[in-house]
Amino acid sequence: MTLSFFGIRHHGPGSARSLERALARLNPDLILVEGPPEAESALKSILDPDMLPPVALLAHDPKSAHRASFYPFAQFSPEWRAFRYALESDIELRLMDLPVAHKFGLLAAQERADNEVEVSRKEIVSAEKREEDKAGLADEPQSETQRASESLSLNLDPQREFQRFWREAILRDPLSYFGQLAGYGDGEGWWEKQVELGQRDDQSLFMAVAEMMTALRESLGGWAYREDMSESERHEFRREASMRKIIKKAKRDHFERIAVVCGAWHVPALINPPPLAQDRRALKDLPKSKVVVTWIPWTYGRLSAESGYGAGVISPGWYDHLWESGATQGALWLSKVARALRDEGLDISSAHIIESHRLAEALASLRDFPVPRLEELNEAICAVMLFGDHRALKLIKSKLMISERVGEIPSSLPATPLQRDLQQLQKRLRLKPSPERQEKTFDLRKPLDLERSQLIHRLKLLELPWGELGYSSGDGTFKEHWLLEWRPEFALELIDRARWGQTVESATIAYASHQAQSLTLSELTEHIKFAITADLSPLVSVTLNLLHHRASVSSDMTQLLNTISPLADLAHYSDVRGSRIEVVDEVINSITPRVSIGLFHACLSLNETSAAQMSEQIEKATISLQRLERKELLDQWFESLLSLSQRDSLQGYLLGSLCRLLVNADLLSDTESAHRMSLALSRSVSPTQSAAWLEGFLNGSGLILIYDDELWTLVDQWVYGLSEDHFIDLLPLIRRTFSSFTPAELRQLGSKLSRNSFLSSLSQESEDVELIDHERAASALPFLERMLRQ
Amino acid sequence: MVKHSASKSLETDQILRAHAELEFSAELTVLEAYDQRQRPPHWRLSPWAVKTYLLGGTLEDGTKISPKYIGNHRLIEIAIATLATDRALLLYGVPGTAKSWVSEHLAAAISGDSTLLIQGTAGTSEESIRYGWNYAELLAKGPSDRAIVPSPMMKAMSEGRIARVEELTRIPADVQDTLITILSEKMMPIPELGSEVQAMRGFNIIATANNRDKGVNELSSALKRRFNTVILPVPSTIEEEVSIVESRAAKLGRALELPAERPTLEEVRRVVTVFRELREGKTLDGKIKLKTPSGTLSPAEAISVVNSGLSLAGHFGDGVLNAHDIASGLLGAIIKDPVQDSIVMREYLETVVKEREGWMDLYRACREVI
Repeated sequence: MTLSFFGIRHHGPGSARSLERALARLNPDLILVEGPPEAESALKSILDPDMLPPVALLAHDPKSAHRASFYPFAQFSPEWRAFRYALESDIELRLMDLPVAHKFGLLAAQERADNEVEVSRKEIVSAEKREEDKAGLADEPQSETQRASESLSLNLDPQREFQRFWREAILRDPLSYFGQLAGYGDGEGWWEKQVELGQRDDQSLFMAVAEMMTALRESLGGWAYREDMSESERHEFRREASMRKIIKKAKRDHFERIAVVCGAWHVPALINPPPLAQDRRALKDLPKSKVVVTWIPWTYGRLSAESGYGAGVISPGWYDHLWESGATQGALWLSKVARALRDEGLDISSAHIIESHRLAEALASLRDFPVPRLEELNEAICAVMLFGDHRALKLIKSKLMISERVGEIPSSLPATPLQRDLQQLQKRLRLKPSPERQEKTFDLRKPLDLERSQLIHRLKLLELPWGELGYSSGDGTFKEHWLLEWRPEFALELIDRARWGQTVESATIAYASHQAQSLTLSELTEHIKFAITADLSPLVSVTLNLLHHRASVSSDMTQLLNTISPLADLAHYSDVRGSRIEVVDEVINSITPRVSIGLFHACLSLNETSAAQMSEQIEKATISLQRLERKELLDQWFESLLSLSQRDSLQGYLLGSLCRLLVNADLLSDTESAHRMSLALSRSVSPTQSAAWLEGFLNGSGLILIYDDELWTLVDQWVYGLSEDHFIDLLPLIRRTFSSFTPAELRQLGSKLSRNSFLSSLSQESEDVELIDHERAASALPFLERMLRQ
Repeated sequence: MVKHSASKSLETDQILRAHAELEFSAELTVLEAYDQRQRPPHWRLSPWAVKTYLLGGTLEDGTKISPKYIGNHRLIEIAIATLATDRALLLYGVPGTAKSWVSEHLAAAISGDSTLLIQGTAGTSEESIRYGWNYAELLAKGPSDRAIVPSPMMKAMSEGRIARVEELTRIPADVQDTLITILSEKMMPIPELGSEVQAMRGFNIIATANNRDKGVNELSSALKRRFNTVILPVPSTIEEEVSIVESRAAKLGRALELPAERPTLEEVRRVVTVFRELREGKTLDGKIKLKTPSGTLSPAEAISVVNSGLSLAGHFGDGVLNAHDIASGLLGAIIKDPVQDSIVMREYLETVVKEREGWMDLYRACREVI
């Protein structure tokens, strides 16, 4: 019996190629591959012609869908090659790793323990607080936790921390670590060079890798069990113990030539196992949970390191190219790039390709590489084709380097967790998907209906518009009226959304956060509202952060202004609900000063309609800010409104309404406001501007005129002083202003007019001076009265 | 940067600014002695040694080579690799990113001569790229080799050296096109004599151009195609930029004999931080996004802010650089457009500077000026 170990680099096309050759040479009768043993039965479908990588094995706990593990494979993944080789040549294939059932079981236990710790810690804190309260030394609870974390961090040894950091970096991709030590960009370059340099015998290359790893791991403290292991090291030990257990079983099963394929890191621990007792102890009595394994389609984008995948590769597209055509095909890659760039509208000639190739080769030789790597090729492309502009390289990044390839799985395979989660929700909420149109009315005060509404809102955010919100009568109602219609293509879209998460909730958060990236400022504000109705607080904070960033660079003051009021309301009401969203404060604190500074420019040269809109927005924002009761912010805001209201170049309506806002906020005294009005209504100002000012100032409420005689007199005098032409021009405007008052106000104004001091004084005067034609004057009175009474 | 053709007879220490090959002649000689690698024809050093000269390093015998360019070493490698092929090199970038500096040092290291220089201006004529005539000679004896006054380009071709063209995009388009024949055919015809000058091996061109003033005289695509372009970026990390600004400001301060003390690292860091944050449109911790002003805010400008601050501190202050000395220079460098930029700056002051711990003095100093 022989055991051969193949330490591979996950998703490394170089090691995939070497592995294929080595396996063919060895001709084993059993292949053991690193992977969850539960997935063995799922491996059959790999040979299905509809199975197109990149795909991933998804193991999840059907009871709690947030516990899930993905095992992605591309066509250039060595594991994938090993699977295919075994299945195609009918060789027994087994997976070896810590069963996912234990992994989830351990996670669940950990979570429970964490919860307990959390609870007990809270108790401690509150107990301490009580103590301190008694002693009259009440401190903020925040500082308590701070102190706790400080004492925690004191226990950590920096030397150890540093070592752990490196350990984890190496663990992620040990061959890249060697590559970097040898001066290569990544492990792929190193592997290629080893193969290129004439190590035609792949078996000896794998042996060299094993020796290197042995040296590396010995220097990092070996692989035997130690008492002072960290939790992640302990977990790793458990994994390797399971691998050893499975290898041992394979030996007992009388196979002749066993090939073991696993990450290079694990090889030393499998070749030279520590005492058996340690393994037994590590694997004894592990908690278990239920596990379901399925295949799901994957994308190169999510295989790339950018997506946050631990064993991710930088450019799957390039590896795909390497796998399909080999490292020496730089010219082919350049032609692909040229093609993609031409599609983007850049003029790339064949001469460009030739020159890029030459520069890449010159660069490679300057850096002592036999063949140009992706770095050299990219740099050559930049210098020759793109005139040094790195940004243009981004055009082809997602297309070529990462590649937009999406995997496919046979349709006969079982459902994704997202589908299952939705089915369960639909069942629990008794909300059957039916292709016919249904009308439903939900009473949001009932918990069941509230959950139903939230589900439909969430699906809407997932872009599965199951329901349309119908008309509901009146504001502030607790009823929602829905039109539900389940379309069959939703099933397909659900599969597509499966990669965003396992539950409707998590998928919606991930998907909607992604969508939010491309929204405009005002759309983002809408998005936040949706997120709140769908009760997704993580999404709210993500969107708020985005809004924060977008708002900081936006120069569109109108849009910014529009965001203040909804945000302030959000801050206010989240306070009431008790679920405080911290970011809102921060966003408001940053937006409000910006708007205060930029408002003047936004208010310049507005026409009548936009001035009305602007003043409405300003008023809304002011009211919301006042409701927030944050003094500093409000002071700054009113300061800017004050200075704004003194700019005569602004539109009259805007100025008038600003003035009114300030009067209402008690920032302008009665005398000051009268002064302002008399200035606005003075002769030098054009009558249209004055009328607009008046409209803005009075804006829907005549009360101020009823109670403030001085203002009333001013208005009266102004109307009286208008020339005939102007009066006729302005009559509609003034009428419009007054018609917005309530009948009661108008009546009071009318009666005020009838005992009007000004007119009577005028008439007294006129008796003295005999200048006024009473008959003519009297003929105007009914009209004036009618106008005011209206 | 001052371009200066100093006559060789002058004392080196009297010269305001010495040529690279003179200032660093010691380093070049040591490198030449130790360089075992293959050298392209007519190159004074091998590409590897040129790289060491520019990026700095330590030789086997412990001789330290000072770094001439602090930044991405890959860019320098691309530049050297380009010159080793027969393609010409175009250094592109915003003003103040050491384009001419790199070009000078590359020419010094490769040809041992950085003086074959054509300064591009709107008035640069074809003669200054090709050749002129000694008219006395021409009138007396008619066209002959002796009557030709060679341009730096012609000299570089016949001697197999590097020619430098500064501010390529400022040269009128028709004159630029003279370079096409030189670059593709590697020869310069002299129709008056029915002869030509053929370039010797080792000849190449380093051109610099400024990508801020777009459309001055955009290169024709025929010409563009003959250049490999390397864009020299603004420094990528704050440490890099602080070290550039600090070392250059100290050096310049010495040269101008400013009375103030060396700039404190803290103040330099503050200037650089302000520049970087505004340039990148976000705070260093990435938490707050910012609007960017219209100016370039290059390291060269940061250097001059520190220098003018130093001179203010030295002549009018207490000799130690503080927030007040920097404020005016800082605002001058940032506010180029009185309306837009001042909004940007005020927003920055209110939302970032005011809140930042220990920056209140800078906030106050700036608010006094703005």
